[in-house]
Amino acid sequence: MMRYLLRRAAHAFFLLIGVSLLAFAFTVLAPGNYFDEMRLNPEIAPETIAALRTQYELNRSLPVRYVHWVSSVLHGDMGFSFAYNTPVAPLLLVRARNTLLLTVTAMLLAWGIALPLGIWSAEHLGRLPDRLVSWGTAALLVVPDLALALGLLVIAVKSGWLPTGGMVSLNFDRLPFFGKLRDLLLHMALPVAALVLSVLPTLVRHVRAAMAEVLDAPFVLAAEGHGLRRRTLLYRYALPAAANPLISLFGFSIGTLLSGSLLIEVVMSWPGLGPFLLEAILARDIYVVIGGVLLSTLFLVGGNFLADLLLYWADPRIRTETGP
Amino acid sequence: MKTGKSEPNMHGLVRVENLVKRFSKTRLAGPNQEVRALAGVSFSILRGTTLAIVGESGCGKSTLALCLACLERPTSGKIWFEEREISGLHEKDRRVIRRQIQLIFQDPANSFNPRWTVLEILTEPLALTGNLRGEEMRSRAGGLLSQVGLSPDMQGKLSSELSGGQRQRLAIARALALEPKLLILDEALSALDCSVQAQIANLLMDLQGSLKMTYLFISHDLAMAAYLADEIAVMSHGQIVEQGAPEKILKQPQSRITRELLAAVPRLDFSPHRTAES
Amino acid sequence: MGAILEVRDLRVAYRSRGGVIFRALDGISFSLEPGEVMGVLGESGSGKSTLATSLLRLFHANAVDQSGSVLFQGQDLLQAEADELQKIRGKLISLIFQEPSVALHPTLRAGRQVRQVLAAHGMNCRSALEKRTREVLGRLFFAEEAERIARSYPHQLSGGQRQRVLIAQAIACGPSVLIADEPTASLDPTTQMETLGVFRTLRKSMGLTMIFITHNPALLGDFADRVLVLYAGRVVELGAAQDILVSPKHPYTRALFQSIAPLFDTRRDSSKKKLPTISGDSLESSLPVAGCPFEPRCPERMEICKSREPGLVNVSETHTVSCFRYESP
Repeated sequence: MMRYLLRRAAHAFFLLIGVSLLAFAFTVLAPGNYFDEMRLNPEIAPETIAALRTQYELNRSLPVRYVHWVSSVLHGDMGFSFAYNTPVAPLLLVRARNTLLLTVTAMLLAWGIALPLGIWSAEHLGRLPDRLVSWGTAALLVVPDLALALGLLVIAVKSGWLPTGGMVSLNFDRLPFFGKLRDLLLHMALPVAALVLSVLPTLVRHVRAAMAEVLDAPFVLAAEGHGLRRRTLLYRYALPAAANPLISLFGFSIGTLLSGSLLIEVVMSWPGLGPFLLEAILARDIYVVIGGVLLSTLFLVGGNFLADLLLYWADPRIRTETGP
Repeated sequence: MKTGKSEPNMHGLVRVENLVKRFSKTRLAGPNQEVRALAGVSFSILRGTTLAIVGESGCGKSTLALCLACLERPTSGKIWFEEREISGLHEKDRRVIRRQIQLIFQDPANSFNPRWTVLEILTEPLALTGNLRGEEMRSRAGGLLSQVGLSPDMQGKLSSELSGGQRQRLAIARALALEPKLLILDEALSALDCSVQAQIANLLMDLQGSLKMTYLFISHDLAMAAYLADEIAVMSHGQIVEQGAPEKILKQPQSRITRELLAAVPRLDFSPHRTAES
Repeated sequence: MGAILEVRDLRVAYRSRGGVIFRALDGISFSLEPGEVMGVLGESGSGKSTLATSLLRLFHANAVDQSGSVLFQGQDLLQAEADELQKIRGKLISLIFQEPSVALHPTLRAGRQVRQVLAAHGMNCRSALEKRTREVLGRLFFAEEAERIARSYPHQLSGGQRQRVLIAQAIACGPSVLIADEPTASLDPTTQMETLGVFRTLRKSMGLTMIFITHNPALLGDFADRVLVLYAGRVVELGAAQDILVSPKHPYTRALFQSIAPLFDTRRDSSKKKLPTISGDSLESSLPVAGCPFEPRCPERMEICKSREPGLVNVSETHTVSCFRYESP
């Protein structure tokens, strides 16, 4: 068991290093840097710019800068943001928290709806309930995420029930605790709805497909022959057998927790990681960009690692098979 | 290309000497487990005859089939095919030999690509030999079908539309497409109904007569093996424990394993059975 | 004593992928006396597996038509309510599926799979479940083995062991009727013998009534009390095992017995004679026909066989055949 885990952990680690190296290299090698804007400004002396550049090590070589950066990261220091003039780490973490608030809620909701819906659909394969679900998911798939988000915004504007942007109201700090909670939830409603609607169809289809295959299997019929009830059969017998592809999908979902909501955040003005990174890329705020990429990669790799662990735990055939 | 000449065997198509095959199962925890599938097997098969290998599950007979078909390399020992030592050959040469030794498996349902039609299944090996094209290939496929007792207008069907017996016939037709010298039948009849087994057994005997085929018939069905074979070898734990003509093996079994196998054959009569209670 | 199970004119039809209606069972009737072993002899396409599952109303999704009745202790299982049926399945009548490698859940331990059957029928106390599971497994495995088997997953067990786990699941709640569908088909001869031995022991110790479905008549000798021969979804012969196995009357049954390779009659003795076979293929006979379904392949067919379906004829008090050859003019 340990060998398996160590192997997967080693993969994850090397992947992280590789990605960080590439991200660093591409960002630094991309033409232009933060201070180019400044050079156009006649009020700033060239010596100032040169001094700033030296201070931020912009004239050292790539490998040197990379090594310095890695050693700082290991100490928790992810560099300095030129634009905001503060360390990168706190900036990123706040934004990441905001994004996670949206995506984790959306993920839980989406899976919570997709599982029963997919199972119900598979149970009635080919008949009316299944067809309705199929059409519904097909329709949702066809509509672009952007249109979904905008559509929801329109509804919000027209009805006036929900706020149309931002994370909290202007008077947030003066609200009592429950008031704060209510305010946050109201603001979250639209982005979460948009996120859920955009990932739901894929999840439902996968659950449906996995379950349909299992429900056809002899061991399910055999269990029915032993007098197992329908509910037990579906959730505690068939679903575990169908779990493998779904676990991989789940791992992937975790992987996209930080990156999947970019569009929605931008459209709905949610102060998350996405818009922040976008801004930083355009401004050539390199340490923010690299820090953001690293964080995203961490989630992606971590998500896959978690999926591997779950798969290992859930499927004894993987556990007891002789490994490669 | 190595040619290993030991004793020139005038009629022996296949000769196996001291074949050993060890598998090493890697484990996630603890030392690797050594499995000795074959522990020194020797026999020869004369051209145009049938050798039956009988034994229980796990005795090594399937590993033997794979080694002979050049799909596995033996750990040690030698295999001669047509007086040429093939166990030490390079992959390139083994591929050529493989065409001459064809394998028929037990499970008719899983032997074919489920999306291919009968015609596609048959023309695939024909295309490998590279000589035939288009119309010629199709007519050869039709000829193969008739040879195994299938109607040529089955060409458009999918393998899932055929019965178990028809699929095994198709498997035999596919094997014959490459004009092999040796046919290894690994439990090829075991998954079929009794009456269908008889049909396929008759087909095999016909083909042996008309094409001078040599068979290695691997089975746990002693009765069918005795019926088809010219010689029977009984295997257990990777070794041959007894070998001889069917009458001798059946009527004067020397080894305990053979006697157990004989006792386990279900009989269609009312002689009191020795019941093995758990 | 009345029959414990009575099947009357059971008919089941499926719609295949191409839309063709395939009649798997075409009017099956028989009765099962308590404590007897009924051997059902049938090859592929005869409807034997459909028979096994239909008795418990376990139809596949594409079954289009069911009619007839299956009377168990006076109640028709085909008309029963779902929860009544649930109480019967696995508890009063148990089915052992064929192919143990796919009839067991792939990722649950064997012991848990037995416990699930017990739990489905009301046992929920943890310790009672474990005790009963150990008891049941102890009947089928040696004591030292039973513990290890309970903790193993199906893919870690051999074919024979998996078969016994299936049997354990079936007998866990102490049923009165056991239906075994090809329980020895994928096993090698010694394991086959052992499994048959297990059934014999269980039958005696639990007083089971059994339906034993197989395509190999040799397995029924010395085990079955009566034999039912199934062909193309119809009963072609039914009677006491001694009668049928020793002197089969229906041409299909006779041809089937003849096609089995005799053990001590090697080819050399009979100067390379071929095995007598039944010509043709069983699949073709599943298409709806006007007359006797075996007619196209029958070595003894007559004119009348093509146009009319034969009825059941009593050859003796305990032996019925469905063949015009035995109908008195």
